[in-house]
Amino acid sequence: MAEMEEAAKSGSLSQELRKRLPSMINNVIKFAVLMIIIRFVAPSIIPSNTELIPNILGMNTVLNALSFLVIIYYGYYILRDIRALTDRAVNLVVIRSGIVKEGSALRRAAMDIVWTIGIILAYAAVMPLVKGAIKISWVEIAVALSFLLLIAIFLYDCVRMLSLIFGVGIKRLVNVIAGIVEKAEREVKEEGSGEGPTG
Amino acid sequence: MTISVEAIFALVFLFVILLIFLEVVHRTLAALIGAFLAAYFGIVYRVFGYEEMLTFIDFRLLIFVVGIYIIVEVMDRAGVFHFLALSILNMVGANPKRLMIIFPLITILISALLSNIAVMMIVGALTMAVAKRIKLDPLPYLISESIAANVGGLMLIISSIPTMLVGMEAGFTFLGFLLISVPTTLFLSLVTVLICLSIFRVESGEFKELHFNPWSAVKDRGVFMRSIAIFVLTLILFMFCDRLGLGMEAVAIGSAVILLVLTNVDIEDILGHLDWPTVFFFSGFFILVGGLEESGLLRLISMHILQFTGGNPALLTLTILWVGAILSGAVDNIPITLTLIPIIKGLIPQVSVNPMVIWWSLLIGVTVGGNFTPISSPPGLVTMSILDREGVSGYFYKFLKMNFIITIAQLLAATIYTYALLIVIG
Repeated sequence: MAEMEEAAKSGSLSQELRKRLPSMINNVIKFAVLMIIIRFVAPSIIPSNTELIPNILGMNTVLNALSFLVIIYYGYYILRDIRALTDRAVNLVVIRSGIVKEGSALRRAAMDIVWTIGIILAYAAVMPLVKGAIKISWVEIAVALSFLLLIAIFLYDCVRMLSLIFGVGIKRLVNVIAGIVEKAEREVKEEGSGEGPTG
Repeated sequence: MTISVEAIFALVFLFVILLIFLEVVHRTLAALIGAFLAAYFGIVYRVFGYEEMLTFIDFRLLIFVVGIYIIVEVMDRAGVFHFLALSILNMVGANPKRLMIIFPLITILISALLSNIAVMMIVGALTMAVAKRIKLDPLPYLISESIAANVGGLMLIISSIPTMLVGMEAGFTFLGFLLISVPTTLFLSLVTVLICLSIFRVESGEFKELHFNPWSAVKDRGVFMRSIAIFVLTLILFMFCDRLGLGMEAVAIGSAVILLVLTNVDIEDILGHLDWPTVFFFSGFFILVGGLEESGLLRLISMHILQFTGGNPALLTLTILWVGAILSGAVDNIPITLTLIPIIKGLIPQVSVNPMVIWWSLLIGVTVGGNFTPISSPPGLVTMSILDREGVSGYFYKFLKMNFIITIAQLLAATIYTYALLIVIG
């Protein structure tokens, strides 16, 4: 529940930017430097077709494996920062739309759908006018992209809310099961301690 | 990114239904938003013209509804329904078991004429009075009444909005409607009472006579008598209006005018109390549904229903019954009826079933479905407000559970009934 409330809270995008942006830039630079070393510097020192262990391990395979590890390691941290920033940005847009004033996460997800449909309808309403009035293809593309961005924001928020609800549901289920197991354990323990020597 | 006209209209419809379901705006405003969007897309995408759009609104139905609203409002002011309820209670006396039969029956009888909100207010107040007098738990009685209020809405063509809508669209005569409605309502009433008796397990208890003064509900005996006379005349005219070459809307509005003149009531006051939001809701939803029809979406849905049921009459009627019920449990039954009517109109020429059976499966479904939860129909909401006002607490779960059980039982009985109807007249 606390997570849902947290997600529904307004949150400050500027604070998040201050916190996340330096670490994101830092990670992107480290990532880029390492990739340059692996992809350009290392092959210039040791040619990539060199066989380190003949017929078993080539330089190319080692460089590929290293690239893979670097992508996973830094990719994780960069994506984590991007996700946190996206969450805040989406929250900001969703709050501005007036959805978060009341109700549960489920209602917020439903309202996200209402907004998504509303935006699609607005797009369908605006496009014939744009096509008729401005005969420039890039304006059409820009309008379409801005609507797509808005749709993506609300759909992202909807999926996020549904996953939160699902997560809370799973947590509750786990608690119920744990409670049952705990009770059974206690009963077994009590029965065990009640059984005194009969002899 | 291009969106087809059918998809646009489907999204408009879904948008309006979500606005109503989530209670983002009042349902009337949602319908008017839907009308605006349908009109805009219909005209801009050249699906229909402005003049054609105006023909989507069924003015005959609007006149009929306003006429009936005026007649019922004047009769209610004259105390007719209160008088009727008190007289019946005096006649039958009271013990807990008998009341469990009588209260739902009174509710059904009055809701055949009065809106189910007003019925619940009258019968609910009476129930509380009786429950206090003979020391009963009012909850089981109020639950059974809130369910019975919807069942009573099937009795006459003028009983509820869905019956008026289907009656007018399907071209039922007043008598033709009665021919099916009476056995249907009696059957569903019997089922409702039997289920309530069995699940609430009311004891017979001690018999007590009730002494209410029915005339206490009547302020002016002259107005009371005149309104009853005009109402009886209206019913007679409804029965013979096709022979007189008149539409039912003409009889309804004509009788309303005569009633207003003869009872000399304050017309501004009467008109001020009519359910205008529903009238505007109709106007908006008519344009929306007209747009859906013109876009070809409803024809597409008809085809899919036909494919799904394979044209099998039994499967088709039962699908309509259950789909109507489930949808009405989630959203108000008026928009559901308005949307399903053109779909059914598209289905009827393609299946070899008596259209009456299909129309009745729709009516029963949307009427009974409203009982699924206490908050899915007006009588349930009125009942909750009565219980809150009387300081009864912790009832919601029981109310929800009982409503659900009774509605499922009613729907199972309705399934058998509709199937029997199909065999007899299908």
